[in-house]
Amino acid sequence: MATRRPRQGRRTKADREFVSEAEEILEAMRAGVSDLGDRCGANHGSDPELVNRLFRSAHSLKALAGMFRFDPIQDLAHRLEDVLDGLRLDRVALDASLCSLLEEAVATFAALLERVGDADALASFEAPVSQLTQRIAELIAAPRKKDDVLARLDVDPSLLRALTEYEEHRLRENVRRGRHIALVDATFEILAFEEGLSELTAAIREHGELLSTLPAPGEAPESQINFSLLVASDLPAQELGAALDFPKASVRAALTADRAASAPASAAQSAVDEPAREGAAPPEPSALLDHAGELESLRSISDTVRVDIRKLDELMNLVGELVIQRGALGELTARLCESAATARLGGELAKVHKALERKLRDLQSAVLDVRMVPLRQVFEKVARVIRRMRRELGRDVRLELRGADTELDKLIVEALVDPLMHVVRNALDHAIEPPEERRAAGKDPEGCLAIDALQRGNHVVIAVRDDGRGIDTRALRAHAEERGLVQPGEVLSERETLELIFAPGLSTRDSVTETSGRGVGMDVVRSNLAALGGVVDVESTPGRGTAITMTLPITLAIIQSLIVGVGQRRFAIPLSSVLETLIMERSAIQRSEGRELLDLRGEPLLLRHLAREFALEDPEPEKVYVIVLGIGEQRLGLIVERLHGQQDTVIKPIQGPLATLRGIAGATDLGDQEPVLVLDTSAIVDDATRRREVT
Amino acid sequence: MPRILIVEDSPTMRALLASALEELEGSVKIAEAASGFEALRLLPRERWDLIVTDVNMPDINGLELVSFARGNASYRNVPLIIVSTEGSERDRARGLELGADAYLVKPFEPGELREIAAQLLAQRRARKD
Repeated sequence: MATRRPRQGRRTKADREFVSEAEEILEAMRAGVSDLGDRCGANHGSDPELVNRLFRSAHSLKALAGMFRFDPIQDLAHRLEDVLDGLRLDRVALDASLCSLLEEAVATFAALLERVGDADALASFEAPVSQLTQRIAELIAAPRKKDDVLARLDVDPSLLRALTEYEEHRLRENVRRGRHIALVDATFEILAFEEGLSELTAAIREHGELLSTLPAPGEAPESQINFSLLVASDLPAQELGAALDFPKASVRAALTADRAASAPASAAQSAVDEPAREGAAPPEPSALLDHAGELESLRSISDTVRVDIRKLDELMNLVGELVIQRGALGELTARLCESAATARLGGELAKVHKALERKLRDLQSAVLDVRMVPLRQVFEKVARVIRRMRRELGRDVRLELRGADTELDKLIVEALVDPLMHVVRNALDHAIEPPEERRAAGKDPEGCLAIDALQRGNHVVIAVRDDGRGIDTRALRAHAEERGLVQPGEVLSERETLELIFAPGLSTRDSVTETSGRGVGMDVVRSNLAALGGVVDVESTPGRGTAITMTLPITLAIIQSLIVGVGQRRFAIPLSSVLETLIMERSAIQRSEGRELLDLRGEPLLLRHLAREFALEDPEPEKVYVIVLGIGEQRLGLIVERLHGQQDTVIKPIQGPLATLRGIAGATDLGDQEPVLVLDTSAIVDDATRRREVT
Repeated sequence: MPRILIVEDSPTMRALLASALEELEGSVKIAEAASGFEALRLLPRERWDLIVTDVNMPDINGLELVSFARGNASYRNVPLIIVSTEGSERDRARGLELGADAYLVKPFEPGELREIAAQLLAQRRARKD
């Protein structure tokens, strides 16, 4: 990585953006693959969390390469995603050949990235890449030889064929945990099967997990239907049958658990069993059975449930759709109220609608609440990294963490880890001086790194402060000039100069050390946060230290929006970034150095016309509205023609050519079937207030 | 008039599927089942000409429904389309292996569904004649 790449000069801005983001993903993959290699070498099983992370990295790389149209990288990442998915779902075994293939893939990515911008060099790589892709494909296609639990199951193969991927995964998981698998068969009259079946499944769920329900024609196919239920339980089939006590059902073992050979889960379980047994007199066999049933029900009483985040997403989407339906209902109600003939009915409906709205808001916040997790886990990760780096770098650094209980949407917390880690590493690596240097400067030899998190309205602010040497703005400027990011003689304020650390392709040190994240700069931190609708600000005092402040929305799911109009179009602006709205005469706009400004209580406010941002026809009315946007410390006044009011909106991603349009965060449906674009306020404010980079 | 059974637990998806199929040329009769169980109850009531089913449903999954239909003399020859968000190769392969005639991944183009449905209905008509 440290070698200079002679061909970099040919790279376009898009190339550079791609490479810098791809390198960061690759970095995460490299670490993951090496961890996986260690596990494999030590004969540990694969770690689901680790595999999941790797899978997500491959997925991100695929999406990124697809967006920038780097086909060989996209193809390879796609294959890699497949094989990791296989590993994740236990279809592919973790062994040495897989590990070496993964390492090879990472090395190939690195080689490909180095050649981005050089079409000939990339083309010469086509053959080896397709060879590697082919080998990965073969690995996926090869049936898993050892230990296929499905082959050991004593059930009709047609039942196994009809399992969805997830059900199959649950089946394997239960076998791995050492549970018994039983097959429950029952026949019902076709006209009334549901009642009997739901009674049976309810009984099954009291004693285990219902894995699948396969219907089949009964003996009299016209009038009967048979169900084969696959059940995982801690009870052997015979005991399960007795516990179910369902005369119509026959229960037999499909797989008898081999408890001695099973994983730690069963050890944990016997730990639960034992104290209970100690207290009781030597139990009779039948008493033991009762006891087991009781324990099972006791065990299921716990005040937490682990839920797949995707299920929460689904729930959130449903709530979002309900919110949209409610909007439509509101419009209809208003129309009923308008006409004299239906006003009475409309008024009653309006009351019901109001109540629905309240309940829906409660539901919404309840679902949102479920998605919230405290920052504690991320903080713990940071603390671990710092402990390790302290050892490696030999720096004395005191860590102060405050606000670990601040809560954020789970997805945002996950996406926050990398940028936060990067900022922390930068601080330890570059900012905090070695003890001798600190002593010489009259500072405490022990450096201090403080991370504070606090909630501010709909945002969470995370500040990382160090008491290190601060950013040398002169060196920064000189460096930026060298890279052609600033022209010599160009006048920059202190703040604008500091902002240069976020410029793509700039690193204040040439010798990039092991811990600094290897050349991936603050520009990636900024763009990662921007993808979440967040921003990053910097403040620094030479000799005293630097503060990097990250501001993030609490959730991405449902937001309150201000609906505005320009010409024929409407746009949604997330209310979280709206500070106030003003109405003003066009003549109040002042012009200075080609910029339009408004005097807002003595402070100049930079203005932009929404119509011009998206090259729409601007009717230029005399009276306009100014939406004052605030993102972090930055302010911008957005001029629009109309205000349509506030509404709950669910942002949906856009596909197709609009997807990459800067300034658009997504689309939403306001309940009247007409899609409305949602503005990406952080990008708009950023572009307007930040100096345009020179490219 | 061809009869089509839509099996899908999401009301939105169900409405989408129905509206896509309503626009088939010539008139069709569409019935909707909100769950696998409801489908099992509706199946014996009519002579179906096409079944369109989701995969992930709370009671029985779409693959199980396919397996049931194919194992039953009365529905063995009814064309079957699986529509699922699961774009996984495995589920697609399984669906086709179990006897589904087509597998569509959501979000799909309504036109695409219509085209496949029209083709399957035409084949079925030809076989009946």
